[in-house]
Amino acid sequence: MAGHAIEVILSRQLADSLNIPVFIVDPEGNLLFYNAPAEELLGRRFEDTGEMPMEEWSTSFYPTDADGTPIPSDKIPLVSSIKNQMPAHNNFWINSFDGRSVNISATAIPIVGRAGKFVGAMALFWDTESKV
Amino acid sequence: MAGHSIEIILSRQLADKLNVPVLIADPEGNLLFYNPAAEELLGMRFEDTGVLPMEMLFKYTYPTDDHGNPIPTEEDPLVICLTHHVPAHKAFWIKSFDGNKVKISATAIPIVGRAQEFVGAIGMFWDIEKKV
Repeated sequence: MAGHAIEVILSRQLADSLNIPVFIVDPEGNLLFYNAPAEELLGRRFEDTGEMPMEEWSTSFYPTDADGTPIPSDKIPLVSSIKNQMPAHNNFWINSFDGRSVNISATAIPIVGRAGKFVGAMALFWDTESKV
Repeated sequence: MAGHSIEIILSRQLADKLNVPVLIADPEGNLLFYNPAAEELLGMRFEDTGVLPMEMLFKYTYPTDDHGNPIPTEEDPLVICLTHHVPAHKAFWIKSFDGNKVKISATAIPIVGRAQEFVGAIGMFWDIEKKV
């Protein structure tokens, strides 16, 4: 995370302290970090996957709609947020690394500092079936 | 912000650097902070309103559905989040302080630290019609 913009560093610090799954990517969509709750939902630790290019993480979880049809990449909020530098939200299904099918609700926001520079994006997502 | 948990402080530090509207609430529903992007969308400045009870925000923004019907308070994502400590999302209309009607997409996430203490919530929202 060293060498990244302060906003990305702050995002990671915050993600590390939340109990909501969070993904953080750079402007090219490379996955820089996901936090412990994301590890639990996805079924794999970040230290085992490491940084991943967008083409890999956006397909590894096989995102689909309720009928099992793969959703276009531009409907994945984090992909949309990177491409358009705008916030995005969607509900869809994913397959975790440990074989579970999970319906998630995901919001992605661009990380654009006050200077107007786009430095990455973060996605917060949750299992819609998960209860308190 | 002094005297608040580290997670609230980190949230504020990050919110202050983002160009996505963000507000931060304590567990009692008092708005502790909203960033310049939120000020622009809401048409009010944090330095003028200070810490604001959430009820006052609803009174001024008058959230409604697509038919102009008031949204029940218990359906507001921030209220759901503060009441049940779970993430929530909804799209609805608000009236900014300067009278404009805006349709927003809003996500609220609970701020629950690793010690499992619920310390507040972060609300992120954006104008759905806004283009890059």
